[in-house]
Amino acid sequence: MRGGAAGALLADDLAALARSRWLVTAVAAGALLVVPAAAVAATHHGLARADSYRQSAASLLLLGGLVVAITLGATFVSLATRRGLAGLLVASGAERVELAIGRLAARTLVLLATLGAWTIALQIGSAAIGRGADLPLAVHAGAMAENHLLVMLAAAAVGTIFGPAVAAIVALVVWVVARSTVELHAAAEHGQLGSLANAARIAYATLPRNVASPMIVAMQSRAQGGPAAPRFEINNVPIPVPAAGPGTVLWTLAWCGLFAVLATRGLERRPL
Amino acid sequence: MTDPLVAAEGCSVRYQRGAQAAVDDVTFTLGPGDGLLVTGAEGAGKSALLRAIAGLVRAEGRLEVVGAAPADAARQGRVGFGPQGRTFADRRTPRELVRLVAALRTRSSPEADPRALAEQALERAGLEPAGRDARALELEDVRRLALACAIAADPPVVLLDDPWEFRETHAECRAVRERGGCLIIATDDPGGLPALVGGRVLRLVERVPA
Repeated sequence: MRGGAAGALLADDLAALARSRWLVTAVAAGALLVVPAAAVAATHHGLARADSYRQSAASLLLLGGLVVAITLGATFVSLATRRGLAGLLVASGAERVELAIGRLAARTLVLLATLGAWTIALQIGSAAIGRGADLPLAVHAGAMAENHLLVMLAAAAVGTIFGPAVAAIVALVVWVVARSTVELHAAAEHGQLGSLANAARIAYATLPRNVASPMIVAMQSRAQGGPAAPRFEINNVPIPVPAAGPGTVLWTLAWCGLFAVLATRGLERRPL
Repeated sequence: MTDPLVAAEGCSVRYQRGAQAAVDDVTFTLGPGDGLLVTGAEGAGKSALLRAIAGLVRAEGRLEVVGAAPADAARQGRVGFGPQGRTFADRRTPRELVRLVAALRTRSSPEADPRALAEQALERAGLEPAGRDARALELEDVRRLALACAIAADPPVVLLDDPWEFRETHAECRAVRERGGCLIIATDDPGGLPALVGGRVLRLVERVPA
């Protein structure tokens, strides 16, 4: 077992998560929502069909993904501590760092698997309405996976100090901040923020950023983003938000790493 | 003179810096074959003391377990902890949980077989439905599961928080002391437990020894 404790703790948390009713329900409900999305899209033709289907898909990936990510992150250690499991495992020889790494890795895998399952269901739905495989939608799902990983890890870090409710609220704030950072930077670059432009640029250079896929920004610019990407306007001037480049992808990953370190440090210091 | 297995001197536990102590100024020494019953009303600090010995909360003053800091002793698999309550197993089966506990406790012994050790512990604790989800267990079986977790791989220091008095509890407590380990039991209902620890009792009243 030497060196494999984190792996054993990962497998343990994975097995327990796989039995949690809320998660199984969420995965199944998300996959089933593809049916009405495809049925509604099938009533349209051409670009309207693609927009309708992708709007529904983006809403599912955003809202469903947020629910799963926040729940996984906010319950990273709080429930295990309250119920006595974390204490039992540490008293039995698990190092706190191993417990943190194992549980964060398990939750990351579950989040990715959930989004992966929904993406597969969405691809099947796309084929069913005669659109074939939708690569831009798959890329969008990948972008959302990174955004939700950020939210999940933020919730995990806060959850080592506060309860799950506070962790969930802070994680939502992180999501809003990440999205606003990108949108306000776009507004600054288009000269719409006046004297606040520098503040927006500083925020962009320091805060976590939302990873926007080419598909969603294209739909947003045509006011077809739906609830997942409503048109962004300042003083009735539409602001085109650019798709995330490699710099933003790496920057957000760095923030994910920072939140993971904070979550690990929080678990190391927390009474169990 | 034999080295103590657990030594506490002026030991206090605070969950937050500056907060009132959950348990204060506790002093005792336990050597091989010794036992201690920690009693007191709910909130008296019994569980806080056990959690400090298990390395789960930091203690002020001197607290050593098998010659090391409590967290180090736990990391070396020297501590067996049977938690209180009924929810600690969460969505695991008893077999899965005790296997994991045995694997963690014997991590530095490549020759150990955690599966076999877990099966032994489950049998010794008298836990029959070891393959069922722990959430479906009767409370009696959850308390047997806590006992199995504590005794898996026979650690030298066994801590039982609010154990139930089964025949198996009596047998295992005797066995711990006979093989040269030490035993600490926390309870607010001593019943026949004082006999299992050799009559040594630490009574906590409002978080300090009475």
